[in-house]
Amino acid sequence: MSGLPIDFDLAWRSLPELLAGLQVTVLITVLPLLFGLALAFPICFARMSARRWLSLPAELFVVFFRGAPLLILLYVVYYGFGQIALLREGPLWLLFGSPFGCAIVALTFNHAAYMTEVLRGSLLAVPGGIVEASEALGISRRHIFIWVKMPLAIRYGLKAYQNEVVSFVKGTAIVSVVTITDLTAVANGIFEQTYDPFTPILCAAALYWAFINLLRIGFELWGRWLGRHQREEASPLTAEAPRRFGLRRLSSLAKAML
Amino acid sequence: MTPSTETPGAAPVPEADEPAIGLYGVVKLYGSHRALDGVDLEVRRGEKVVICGPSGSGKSTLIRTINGLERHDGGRIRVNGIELTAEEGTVQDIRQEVGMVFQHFNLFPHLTALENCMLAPRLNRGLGKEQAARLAMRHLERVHLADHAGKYPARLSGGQQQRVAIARALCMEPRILLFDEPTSALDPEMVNEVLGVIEELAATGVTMVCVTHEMGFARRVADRCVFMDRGMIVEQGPAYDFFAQPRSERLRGFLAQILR
Amino acid sequence: MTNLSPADIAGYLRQLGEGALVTLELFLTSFAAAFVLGVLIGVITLSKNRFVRAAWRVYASIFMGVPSLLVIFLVYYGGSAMLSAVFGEFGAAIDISPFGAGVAAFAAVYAAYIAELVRGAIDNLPKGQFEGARALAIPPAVMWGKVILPQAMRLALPGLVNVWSFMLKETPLVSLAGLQDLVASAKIAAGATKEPFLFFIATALVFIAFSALTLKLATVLEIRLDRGIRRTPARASAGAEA
Repeated sequence: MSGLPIDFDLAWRSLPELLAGLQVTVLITVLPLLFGLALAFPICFARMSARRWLSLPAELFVVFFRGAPLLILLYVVYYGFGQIALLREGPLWLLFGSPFGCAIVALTFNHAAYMTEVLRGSLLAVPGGIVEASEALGISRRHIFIWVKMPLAIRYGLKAYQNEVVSFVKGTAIVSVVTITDLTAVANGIFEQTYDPFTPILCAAALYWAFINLLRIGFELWGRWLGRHQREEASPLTAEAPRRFGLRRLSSLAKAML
Repeated sequence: MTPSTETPGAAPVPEADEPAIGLYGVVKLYGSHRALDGVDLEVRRGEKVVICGPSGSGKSTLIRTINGLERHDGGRIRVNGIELTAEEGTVQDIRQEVGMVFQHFNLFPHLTALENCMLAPRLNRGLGKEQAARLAMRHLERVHLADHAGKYPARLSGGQQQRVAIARALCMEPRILLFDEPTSALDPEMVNEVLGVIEELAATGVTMVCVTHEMGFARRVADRCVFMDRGMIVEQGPAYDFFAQPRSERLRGFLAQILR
Repeated sequence: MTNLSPADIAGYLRQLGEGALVTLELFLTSFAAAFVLGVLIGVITLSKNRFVRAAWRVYASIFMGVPSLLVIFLVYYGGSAMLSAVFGEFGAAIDISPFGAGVAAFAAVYAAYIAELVRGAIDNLPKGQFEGARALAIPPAVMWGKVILPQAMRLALPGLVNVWSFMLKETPLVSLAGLQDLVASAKIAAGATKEPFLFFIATALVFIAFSALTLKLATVLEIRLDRGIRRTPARASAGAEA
């Protein structure tokens, strides 16, 4: 790969445009991350409920939005939802009428489905004895959740969360197909104007790489702060659910990046 | 430390002759297995009761039904004058009165020793940070761990962790303390520091029910020993008679086994 | 709401079926390529050589830190130029198809993940395995093919299953480079019939069903392997290919 023809002049000239694209990518990452996480909690509670009429729909939601390729989810929302008259006439059309709204919805549901599983795995990893001890102290169920289960679940699930966030950022690259000018779309546009196949895409790749590794560093620091109480690193989750998070965990196993 | 730091108030004060704990024909089922098969046991206020028996005899299940960690399937349970029913409220009321110490400590790993002790008083009684910290410090001193208040459980030895667990239970200022094999998960050299703390507590007049096989401890502390087997109480009596003159064949066999 | 004639439906179904075959072909080819490349890279980068390790870190960092879609575009748009840079004029004559670009991109990206899995699995093998093989003077090729890799594969299986289902979900990306796969066919059918909801949901369900089916097979395989049944001959040859 000796002489990749990178045109530094072109790179410099297109930097403002690429950075604007990066801004869109960050926006289209952060919003679904927030909405998806918020949505994951009620879905996770439903999923863990003993009542079948609650857990079954939650399970189906997870299977569909986790199992379907993101690109198809985006098509379903962007092209498919427009078909539904109820949506087209209702106030929700403000959301589904715009490419941006559609992308947010598709990405949010996808992230919510993944986070439901991350959350569930983390909550299940909280040792039963510790919950029992809280009960014996007469702490109410709500308080046990807030002060005991969640703080521990965050510690156990942090790696899985990090990996989901990282792969989610990479997944956002598809939003360009619904005419959103994110980082990938900007790079594509520059290619189409200049027919330089390397410079714009490699620049975009570098920006994605920087964004993702910034997130990794953030998670790393967060994890270190949370793990201050531990003598040695040991997450029950590693033993609990290698199947569920295996691939995503890999990228963190390869902390190589940094 | 003085014995009667118990808070007056919240819960109904039991009649003078009302036992601290009363179990009447208590049954617990796991599928078709009768873990508790009609257990009757009354514990007077201030009494120290030691329960022993082979594994699977139902002694842990028994102690766990008292504060509702296991729900009984039959019979009646009264704790401090409160009838334990299926209602969530009665369980919560009883748990405010009953402290429990577990075999595996079950400390909150993400909180320091001090914070472990502060959590329940803050959440249940709405104590402020300062107040809760003072209370927690007082009880950590009682278990001789004031110096370690700022440490996380992972940095404490097993014996120290168990003593923090005791302090944590004490912070709710319970009238009744339940111990579920408090020393079985400890290395031998740490057993005595924990038993020592429990003995000191025993001297304060709190009601105690302790599942243990530490016979020396039982002789020194217990007012009464109870032997369980197959979900039933087989024999009970004052500690001295219990060990010196076991009446039932099963207790004799059991004692022979543990004393070897 | 639908006004599709049976003939239309049959036509679209045939088109979708052809697209599905393309997707399947792309997926299996990519996975096989990534697997072979990944095992190779995984074994090679266990070397103590500092440069090999540094090269591995850079490679893994890049391909785990960049969207697959960009890699696909890079190979598709820039592939010919890259080939001509390497092979001169002869390479420039080769046109990169979307299919080829997809396979190359997925192989490069997922080989990194698979190599990581393989490295982790080999690291987790008891060190005695290597010493034992050496003490018995077993030739290195046999040691790797018959002893180390089969066991490593067993350890890596859950992770490989993950790579499998994750890569499957990324295969539709190649349609954005112009591949006439299942998703592209669905898009055409959706546009022509004005029934996008129907076609895209159906496509999604095909992916989910395929994924569920193969995961079930993997679970069966895993239970088999975990039972300790000696099936090593088959596994060994799979590993030895690498």
